[in-house]
Formats: sequence, C-alpha cells, structure tokens
Amino acid sequence: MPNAFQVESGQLRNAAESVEGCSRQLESGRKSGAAGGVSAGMAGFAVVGACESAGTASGAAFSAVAKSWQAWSAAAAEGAARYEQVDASNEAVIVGAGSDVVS
Amino acid sequence: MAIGKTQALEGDVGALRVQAEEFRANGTLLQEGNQTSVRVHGDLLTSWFGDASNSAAESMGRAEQQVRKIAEAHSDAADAAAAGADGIEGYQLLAREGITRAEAEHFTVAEDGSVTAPSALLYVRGEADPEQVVTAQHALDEKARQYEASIKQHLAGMAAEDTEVAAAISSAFDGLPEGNMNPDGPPTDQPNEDRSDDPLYPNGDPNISDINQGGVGDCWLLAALGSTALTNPQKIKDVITDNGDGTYTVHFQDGDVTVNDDALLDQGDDQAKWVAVIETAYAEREGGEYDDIEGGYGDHALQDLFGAETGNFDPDSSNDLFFGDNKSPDDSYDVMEEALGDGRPVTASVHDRIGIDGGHELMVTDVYEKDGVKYVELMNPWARNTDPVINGVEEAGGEAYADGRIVMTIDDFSDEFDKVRYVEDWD
Repeated sequence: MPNAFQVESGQLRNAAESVEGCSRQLESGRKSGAAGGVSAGMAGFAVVGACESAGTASGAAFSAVAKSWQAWSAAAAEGAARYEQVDASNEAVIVGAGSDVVS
Repeated sequence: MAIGKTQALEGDVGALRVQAEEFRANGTLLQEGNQTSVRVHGDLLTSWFGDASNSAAESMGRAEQQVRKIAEAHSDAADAAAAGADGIEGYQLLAREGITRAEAEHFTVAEDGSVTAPSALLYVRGEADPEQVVTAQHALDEKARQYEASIKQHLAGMAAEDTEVAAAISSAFDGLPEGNMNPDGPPTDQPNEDRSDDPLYPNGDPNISDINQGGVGDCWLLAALGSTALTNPQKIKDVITDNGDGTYTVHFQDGDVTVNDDALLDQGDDQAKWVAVIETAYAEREGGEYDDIEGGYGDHALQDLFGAETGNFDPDSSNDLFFGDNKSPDDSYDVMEEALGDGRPVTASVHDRIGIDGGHELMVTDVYEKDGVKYVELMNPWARNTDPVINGVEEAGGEAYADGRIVMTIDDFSDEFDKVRYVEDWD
C-alpha cells in the first residue's frame, strides 16, 4: 500500500488535540464583560438591550462553535483509537478510516 | 424611555466603545480558531483518504462556514457599536454643552429638553420701568426657545443614533445558528437530496398538494403539516426562516434547528422543499436520525412546531364510554366542522382498517352535509391510494380515489378511524 495513502493514528490524534485546543481557547478567551458596562453606563439607551441580546446570542454561538469543534475532535480521537487497535492486532496498514469516524 | 437630559449629562459612551472592542476581540478569536482548525484538517488530508476523510472534510467545511458567519457578525457588531458611540457622543457633547450653558444662566432645563426662562425681575435693580421688564422677559423667553430648540435637536440626534446602532447590533446576530450547528452533518439513515435549486414553496404558499410521503414512516408529521397548509399556511411560513445562504432555520417551540438545503430528506421530488426542510430539522431535533421520526402523533407535531393547544378524541361513542375521550359521530362531525371552519388543522388516525396495515394518519380536508347525510373527506399523505386502500374503503361503505382522496359518511368514518386530532387554539 503506498505510503501516501496512509494516515497514522498519531497524526489523527494530534489533529484532534489541535482542534480541541481551538475549542478550549474559544471558551476561555471569550470576552463577555462589556454588556454589563453598557447597561450600567447607558441607562435609557436602546443600545443597552441590543448589547445584552447580542451578548446572549454571542454566548450561544460560541458554545455552538465549541461544541462543533469538540464533536469533530472527539470523532477524530475515536478514529485514532481505532487505528491503534488495528495496529495492535498487527493489521498495521491503514487506508482511509472506518466510514463512521465522522458521520 | 426617551433619551433626555439625564442621558445627555450621564450617558457613558465609553462603555459602548469597550463593547465594540470586545465584539472585535471575539470575532478575531473565532477567525483564528477557524483558521487553525481548517489548517490542521488540511494538513491531515494530505495523508488521509477514504469515506471517513470525506465525511470529516464535509463536517469541517460546514463548521468553517458557520464559524465564519459568526465571526463576521461580531465584526459587524463591533463596527456598528464603534460608529454608534461616535455618533451618540457627537450629539451628546452638543446637548450637554447647551444644557450646561442654559443652567449656568439660570434657565431651567426639563428632562425632555424643554427650557424655561428665569424671571426678568431677578435682573432688575431698584425701580424698573414695567415696559423694560416686559421687554427683558420677552428677550429671556426668546433665548429659552433658542436653547430648547438646540437641546431638543441634539437629544433627537442622540436618540436617532441610539436607535440606529441598536438595530445594527441586533441585525448582526440575526439568524445565527445557536443551539445546533449540525457538526455531524444531516441524518444519513435515509437518502438525502440536494434541493438547493428548488423553490421553498413550489405553489407560492404552503399547499396540501406539497405533501407526498415516500418510504419514511412520518405520516403523523406530514398529516399535521398538510392539514396546517390547508387551513393556515401562514403558520408554516412563520416557522421557517430562509437565511439566504442555502440554510433554513426551523423555529421549534423549544429551540431552533438549522439545516442545509444541499442535504434534505429525499422522499421524492413531489414532496415540496419546505416539507423536506421540516422533516430533516425534526429528525435532527429528535436525535439525529430519520428513524427518530418514524411513528408519532400529529398533535405532538402541532405542539412542537406551532405551540398549538391540541385536542383528540375517539370518534366512535360505542367504545370507551367511560373514559371521556370519545364522541358520538354527530359530535365528532361538529368538532371537525368548527375547527376546519376556523382555520384549524384536523387529522384522523386509523389502525389495521380500510386496507392499511398498522397505523396511519391522514388529513381531514372537509366535512359537509348532502341530502341529509354527513360526509368526511380525507387526503392520504401518500398522495395516492393503493388498491387495498381503495377496496378497503369501499368495503367500509366509502369511496377512495387514486389521487389520495377518501370520502366516507360520518358513521362509516367513526367506525373505521380510531382517533381525531385537532388544534383547539393556536395560542
């Protein structure tokens, strides 16, 4: 089997960790403090409500993105684990992956 | 609450600038994460081929598009907040200056910007000519009017900028995926079809003829959708948002589900796209497989989608006399007539009767009286009737047609059908 058509479990695991890292960075790096400041400093302005709603929508969207990346990462990590199981049973050459790695 | 003196003097536009910076920082964070995840996957693809690789690429591609939209929303909101802060601040400085100067000259400025002049007598020393006092008062009143016009103009400017920036920030986040970014792609346990070239409503509005059930056992959902299309099509239009980018958001009562029209449930081209949008979204809501919408009850769909208050009953009073869920044929006819006349959907379920194996739910399309006999007209979600159904209905005393229509007397209907489901109240 040509090497160019092979993927090692380590590569897949690294990819999973990288994407998981994106997800963690997103969750930890999100800034969400300003809406409170707008609320306190701009009483009576319509923009207060808009900023609060935007903060809620932004938070939900951030969670959805993080969830999406986590799902992808988990699927890739699961795929990596399967490769390793196959390696352990001496079926070392892997072409593609199980079709249900990411479905 | 109108923008007034308090906002002119105390409004902290700096807080809005901080908000703009945070929107921008969040957008950058999303962009960077997106670039990283796509690059990582791209690197992997140089050595990963096969079905799983294709699926992973499709999944990542879908996520990349959606994350990019969210990042752009943050960037747009940042621009709107920054521009709004500038605009509000410009008018605020002018309004504040006018208020401060007027009050320094002992004019009274009300919350709405109205200005009252001080009494001219305050400025009179000793004996004063009454005419001079009157003239002085007129001059002060005129100055008050000038202050008022200027202050109110600038307060109105603040209010207009405020309204504009609020609308811009809100619209930046409109229609974004929230609860379900569909990271795993559409359900795959039944064939999907690319419907991106099809109109959402092929008949202009949702229509009962848009229903055409194929191999998926979701007659209950289709019966609910078909009867709603017949009685109140606007309800269906209200529950689907076309996001303009090939995605459609279905607004369930407990949250939104967004689907992509390049992969919708394929029950055949005769099933309208809007129906497939709802079927696919419903399957994702129920667990992510089309198998999750096999079997159900039409009234549950009417609750889940429209928040309708629903009722159901057995139309045959000879059964379950003591359990309260049955009605006489005449009472059943009356309930159905009132609901349909009032623009409320009605469906009817049958089980192992009229040539149908197992359970099936149909749309009640009309009830009418002719020569003293009351009739019920139904439509099969299959959009046709098989020979066993045509024969079964005829044996039961009714008529069934190849196009899916069934007509029975209310007495025969009550004998054959075991449950009528309907909307009691939309709200």
